Amino acid sequence: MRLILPDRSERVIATATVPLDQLLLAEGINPLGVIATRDGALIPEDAPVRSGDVIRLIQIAHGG
Amino acid sequence: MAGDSSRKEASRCTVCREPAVFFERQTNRHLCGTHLIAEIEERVAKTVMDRNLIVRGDTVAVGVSGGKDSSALLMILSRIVPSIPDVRLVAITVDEGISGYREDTILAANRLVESLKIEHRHVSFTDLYGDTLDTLLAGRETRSCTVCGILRKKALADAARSVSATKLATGHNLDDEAQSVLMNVLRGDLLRLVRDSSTDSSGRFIPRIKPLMYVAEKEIAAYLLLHDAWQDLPECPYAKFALRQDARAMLSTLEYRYPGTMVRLMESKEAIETSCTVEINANPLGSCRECGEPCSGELCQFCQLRRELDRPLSGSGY
Repeated sequence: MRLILPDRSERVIATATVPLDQLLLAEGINPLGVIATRDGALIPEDAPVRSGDVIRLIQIAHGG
Repeated sequence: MAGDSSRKEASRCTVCREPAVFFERQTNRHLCGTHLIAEIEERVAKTVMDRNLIVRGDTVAVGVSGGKDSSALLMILSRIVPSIPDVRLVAITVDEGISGYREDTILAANRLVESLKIEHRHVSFTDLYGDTLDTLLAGRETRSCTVCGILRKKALADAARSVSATKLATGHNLDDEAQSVLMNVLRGDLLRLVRDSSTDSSGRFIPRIKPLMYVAEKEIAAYLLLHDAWQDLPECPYAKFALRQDARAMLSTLEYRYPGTMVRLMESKEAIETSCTVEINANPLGSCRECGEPCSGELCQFCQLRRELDRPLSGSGY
């Protein structure tokens, strides 16, 4: 699967079907700091993601 | 990576069984877009009603930077305010003068306010204080959020007064409020922890209200995305200097591991507030000896900053 990070860089990850939050934690990303879309649609942080998915992450915290 | 077999199927909305778009960790509920939007708007309406944040006849000045929180605040208020008679909303946008950042958010604010057909006022640090924040901060970048916060608060209050506002609403969300509680504890600032600025029996300042105080930052982002109103805006270049960044990271980690941490922190703050009436009454608001504004010491924060910057800041463009 392809994980598109908030800075638009990409990580290609070989994974079985797993909950998104587990995958994010394994990648060092706090699931509460981002929202995720698949095919342009919002998905819950515990949604199952699988091989072939393209997941885009959006950083939610801005400002100071 | 080990999978969790119980979570391999797409989840459904707890209310209607449509595909879920959001997982509420604290309540262990899944919600579809329709029910997430309804849940957020109902929670804000309940906060407003239960705490009498907005009442009949109010003129509510809404600080709208164009960022996600203030945008969501204005959208939600524009939906719930018509149920309260004779309430007028006025959006106020402050241009601090932060190069490469504020230009984009002001454009976003302008588009949103225009689309909602709400009265809009603009003020700028250059007009009010004679210079941009970038210039005022030269050599003081590590204190950027303190300096900006004091000047922006003053700018918003003056602008709210200029439109005869009876309330000043800001987009502070649950994460912001929980972070503030933690920061005030870390600073040992009990008075700031317990002082309530949402009401004013003395009539000396415009009460500041925070209708999103029980809506998490992630819920706000989802709300905007569902309304196709999410804007990928740049991050404030001064954010990296803020103590708040550390508080945010710490609380976000705790919230993920122990859902409900931020709400419980807010509840603790409110419990302390009710126990501290003696402390608050022993330290009533005084008046700044230079400008006369309400404050807890001899000088208000704005006049302290004016001295520190060693320059005349007019303090009001009105």
